[in-house]
Amino acid sequence: MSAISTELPQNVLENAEAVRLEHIERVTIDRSARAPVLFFYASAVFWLLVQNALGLIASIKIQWPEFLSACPVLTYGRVVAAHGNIAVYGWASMAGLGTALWILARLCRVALPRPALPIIGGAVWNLGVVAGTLGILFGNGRVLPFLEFPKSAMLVLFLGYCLIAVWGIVIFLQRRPGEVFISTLYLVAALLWFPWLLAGSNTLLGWHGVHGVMQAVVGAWYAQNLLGVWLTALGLGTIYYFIPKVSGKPVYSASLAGLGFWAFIILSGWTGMQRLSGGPVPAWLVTVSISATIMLLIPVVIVMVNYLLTLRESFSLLNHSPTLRFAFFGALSYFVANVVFLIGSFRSVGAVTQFTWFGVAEDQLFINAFFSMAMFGAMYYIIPRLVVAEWLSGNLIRIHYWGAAYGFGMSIVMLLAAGVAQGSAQSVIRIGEGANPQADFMLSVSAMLPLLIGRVMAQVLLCIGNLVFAIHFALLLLRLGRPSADEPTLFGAKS
Amino acid sequence: MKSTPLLFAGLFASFAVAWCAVIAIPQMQIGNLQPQVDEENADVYPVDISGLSEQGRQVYVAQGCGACHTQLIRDAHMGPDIQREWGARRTVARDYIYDTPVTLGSMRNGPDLSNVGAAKSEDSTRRYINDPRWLYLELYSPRSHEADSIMPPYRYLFKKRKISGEPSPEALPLTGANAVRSGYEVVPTAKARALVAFLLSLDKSHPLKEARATAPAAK
Repeated sequence: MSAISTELPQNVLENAEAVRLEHIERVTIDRSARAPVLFFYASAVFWLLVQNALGLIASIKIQWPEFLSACPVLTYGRVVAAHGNIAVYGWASMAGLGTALWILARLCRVALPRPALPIIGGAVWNLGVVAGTLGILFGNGRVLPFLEFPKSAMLVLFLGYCLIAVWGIVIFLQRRPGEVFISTLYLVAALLWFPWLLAGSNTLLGWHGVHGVMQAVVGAWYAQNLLGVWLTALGLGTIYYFIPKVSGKPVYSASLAGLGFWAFIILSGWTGMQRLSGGPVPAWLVTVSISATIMLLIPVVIVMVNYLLTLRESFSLLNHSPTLRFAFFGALSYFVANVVFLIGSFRSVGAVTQFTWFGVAEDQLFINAFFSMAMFGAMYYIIPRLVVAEWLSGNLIRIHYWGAAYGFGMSIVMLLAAGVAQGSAQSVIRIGEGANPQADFMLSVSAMLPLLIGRVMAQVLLCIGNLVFAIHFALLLLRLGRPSADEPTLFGAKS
Repeated sequence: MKSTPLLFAGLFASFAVAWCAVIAIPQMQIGNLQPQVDEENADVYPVDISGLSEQGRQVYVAQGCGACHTQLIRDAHMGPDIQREWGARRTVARDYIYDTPVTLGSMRNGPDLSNVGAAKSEDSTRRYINDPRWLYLELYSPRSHEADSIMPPYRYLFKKRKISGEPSPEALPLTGANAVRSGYEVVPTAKARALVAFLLSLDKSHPLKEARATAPAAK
């Protein structure tokens, strides 16, 4: 009896000491990451709103071509290009870099060595996005998807990127000995893959390394790697961090996760040439990409199974934790995105869906439904720890969640439907007396327009949701949050 | 995965192998194609465009025309482009060797433009005609050709001016809501002229050994 009574307090004391040290370490890391990560997040949210507004303008222009038509800066082609590029470089990449630095610091248990340098990098990156956007809007843009920023802006982005990402790698190299988490692998892979991609592709394109159709090949490869490796690896790494973190369970199978990681890394680089299916490129090239996309389903399924099994006893947390709900929405979307991408890859499907809104929907699935939602989840978790205050209101988070979930979901469904309607109408050729296949092209326009009105409504929802998020975030930055000693802000009352 | 060098090497190898397969090998295959030269009459195709047309390509890129228009014809079994009468044969890599930047495009909210400059019939119901004045009007007011067109009007590529002396032969034949006061005319700016010159230079109908026509040319 007496032996037990003396032992117990001893254990509790040791535990308490360990918990205290761990807490100090986390606080130190969060403090080192506070300024740069909040700067990245603030920039990202600003660009998120800009790209929402541009997307809405573009959608209105499709319905009503006279809208703002006197303004050359806002002509449809330029708005669309600026919208896509800002979504990836302004919003997604900034949010992803902030999240990656914070998660790496936490998992490697290393404080950010020189917080001022990533801030300078972030400023340079923002400068690149501004320069690129102005370049497009004032007629200096380029032509390939996600490469419309002028090449000088891409150079600025690259410099900014190096100043930021090098700290992620430094943190990784200085990590405390011990297990390397799967999340870390994905994030480091993203950080290392992106500079090669950005520099390699832009050198080939911008400085006349390749001619003719090869420009389109490099462009298609770039676009696919941008979404399918850079954003995807950042997104998967983030979700691999937050699902175990929030549910309090380790990743279900670490070895499965490792297998999925390597399969993903080895296969992803081979995909993307479907974008040129039927085009003036060797047929084998497209076939190779289709095969790689089919095989890519293996890591996709592995990742999904691992997420689901990790969560297997904690699904009820989805009712309470904003982070988990956003991240889980992102995880499901990742699966859907890959399946839709695979379906669209097949030549028989592509004959209908190629060159339609279907392709836009595929990109949106990756950028928004998957990646953006994962980032929102991360931000709801990370920002309170950086500003040392809790989110003001669970209801505001809920408005954002439903705005984003319905907005992205409906937008993508409408785009897919519009793509199929447009493509089907274009595939039907009336022949015979008085038939005029060229004039009949207008049938595809009238088929898609009603569905695209649905997209406008979805975009309005999105704008509302994201605006609420931005205001909520701004209030927190202005130190108007709830004190951090309180419970974290959750959906509804936690029972 | 505890070994950092192994991780970095694995990542680099994955990237490099994919790069070789998807970029380097196609570059060897189609990266250095030469024009096709006919032995008998020294007929060379394609030829590089220059001057006004080349400037027009820059206008095409700067205005973002590629957001809605493609410039490629798929083979008959890959899509209905040929039946749609956008071209008599599929386009192949050799067609594009002088296109800098290449403007294949990825959306067809508007029709394909591969063969705008190729000779077409006089039939005015066709979507586009090998006629600069038709193209000027299409750019200025797309809905004067097609009531439900969703193409944005590019009126800022034109200027309204007072007629001094003879009316310009390039003045747009504007009627209805677009009509201008008498004594004034709407004429294309240098950018519109360049853009139309570029559009008229688009002609990928020349026979190529590797891509024979699979349907009779559009009449």
